[in-house]
Amino acid sequence: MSQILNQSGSIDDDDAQRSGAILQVKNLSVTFVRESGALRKKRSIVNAVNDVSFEIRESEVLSVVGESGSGKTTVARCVSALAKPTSGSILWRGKDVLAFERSEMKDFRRQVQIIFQDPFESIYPRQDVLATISVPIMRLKGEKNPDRIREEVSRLLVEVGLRPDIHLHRLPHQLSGGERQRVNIARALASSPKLLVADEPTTMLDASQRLNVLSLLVRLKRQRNLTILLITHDLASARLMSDRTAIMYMGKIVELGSTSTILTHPSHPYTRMILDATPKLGSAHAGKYDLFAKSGEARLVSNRGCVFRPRCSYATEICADVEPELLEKSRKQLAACHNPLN
Amino acid sequence: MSNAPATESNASSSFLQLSDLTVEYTVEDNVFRALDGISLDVPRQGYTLGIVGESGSGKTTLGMSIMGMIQSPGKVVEGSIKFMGKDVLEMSGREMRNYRGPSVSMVYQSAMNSLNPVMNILNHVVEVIRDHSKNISKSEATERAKKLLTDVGIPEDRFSSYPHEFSGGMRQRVVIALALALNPKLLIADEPTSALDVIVQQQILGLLKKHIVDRGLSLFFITHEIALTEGLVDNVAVMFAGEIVELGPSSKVLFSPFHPYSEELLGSLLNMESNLSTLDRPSAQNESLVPHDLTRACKFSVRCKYAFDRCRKERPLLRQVEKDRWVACHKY
Repeated sequence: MSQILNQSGSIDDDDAQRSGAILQVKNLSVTFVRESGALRKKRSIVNAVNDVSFEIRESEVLSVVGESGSGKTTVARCVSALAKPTSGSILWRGKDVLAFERSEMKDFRRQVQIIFQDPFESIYPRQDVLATISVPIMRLKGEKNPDRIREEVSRLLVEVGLRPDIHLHRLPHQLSGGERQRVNIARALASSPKLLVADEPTTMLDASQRLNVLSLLVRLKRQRNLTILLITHDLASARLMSDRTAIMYMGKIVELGSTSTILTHPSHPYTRMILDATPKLGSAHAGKYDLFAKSGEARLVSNRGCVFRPRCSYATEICADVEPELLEKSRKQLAACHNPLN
Repeated sequence: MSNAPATESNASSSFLQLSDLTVEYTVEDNVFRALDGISLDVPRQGYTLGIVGESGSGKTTLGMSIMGMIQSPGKVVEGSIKFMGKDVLEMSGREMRNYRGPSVSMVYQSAMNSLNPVMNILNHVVEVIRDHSKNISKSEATERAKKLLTDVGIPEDRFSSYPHEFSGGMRQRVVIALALALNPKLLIADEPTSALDVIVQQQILGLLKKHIVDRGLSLFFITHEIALTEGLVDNVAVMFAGEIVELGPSSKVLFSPFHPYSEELLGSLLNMESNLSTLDRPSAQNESLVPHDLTRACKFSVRCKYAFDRCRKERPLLRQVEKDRWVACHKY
């Protein structure tokens, strides 16, 4: 067991050096204590993220895909130092983020910015667009001259497809969802970050605006040479945006590798399952629903074995006893499964 | 109504008939017309309709109107809603009570956040059943509630759990069980799956489909995910700025749309075949440009690539262009 761990660990390290990882996540675990019962006396531990390791390489887009409750947002919050891991570490260019001094942390905040899921709740409702985007310019870049701030905000608005003459003094409630998300993106870009963490940036938007925002992110990535960590539950966005994809299930990464490989030849049964459930116009599957697909409520009784076992139609005896490690299945693909497909 | 799409029969015996329905919201001195002369004739029970369009196009207001739930500052300023011959807007309190629930019921958007936090889910369902039928015993109601919850896929050992102990998908199932509790003839489902992941989404759609097939439920399925309507509903209505701009069988509208807006909507679908070249579109163009105030012109003309003179002068009406297809556009 320990041998396997070392082995896969060393594969990661080699890869990281070869490809120039700017951020490494090592054995990240986050647990929450849930209090329940009338007097909050019943306590249970929730493993939101359970021993997750991956790296983000310079100038790539990495997608983390999973259903609600799979721990993907917690990963995003840890990566952007908004949540503390219970164990494990986050390395930014080789240095431990948790051990950062004040000045190093300020620099980290400048270089790593996050876009939140809900454009309706992540902008202060009583500040106009100018004031909202000014904050990081003042706090993180130290700019104090109001004229220069205004100029910078206008430039950012144009970059994200908004018009300074119309939008500069709008309040959030005067903007559509898509426009708000653009303001969010402009605010994140204000400190000229290297890594952009986008936590479901399009889930709350209409189909047409969704495509516009994704297209904006693609353009910004090219123009600014950004690295993007995209958190999503939508395989179609992952496919469009990302070079590599990690599939998360109940706090674990179950499959990780090149996006095109994973989506054309999924190795993990869970990846196959969400691929099949992704709606697609004109597909032979339309209107044929699997009523018996087991849902995420099928929680594990014991802590042993594979987390996906209760929903897996390929499960065998070993799946109940031994937790599968994330191992290399092919040149471009890692999967945590005893009975991988293909 | 010359422009009321009727597929069969005469209007008097229709299942549901909307004529010239117009709803306005007045805030201070601003009047916002959310529905602008909607006419729709649903000939029979069992008719299934997908209602698609962007946010602000009036999809939810249409559902709320049929439920008779437009409240101040909203107001039905014109038109009528007739359910099996009875005008919904004229119903007395008692009639309304027999209408909402037993005849028409609605799954509200994000209703999963509006369950009573101090009542377990079985009691939610029991309450609805007992409130509507005086002569049912408590144990009978409980039996029926249990069956309903089982049908939507909630395991028996969870019946006494409270809403906060469930995931979003499970709560959404409870809400659907509540909407189906009184065997409605028409169910209006307003974005029932938009907060859920794809697998739970499939299960919920499967459940709705089962009720359509098994007991002839009529479904109005409101969504902005057009791909979900395929295979679930027989017909699709495309809404834009408070109007129905296209109506027809889903098998045709989804694959060869007539109206330029339907075309745009379908073109913006993100699916496993999309590629980056379709993504390279001009940014933020007219995203929020929905001119609810133009009185004469076609409302879509400001965004329409085919617009010509007549479009800016005269509002096109929804009219029949093929045997079972209606479109509001001067091109046809």
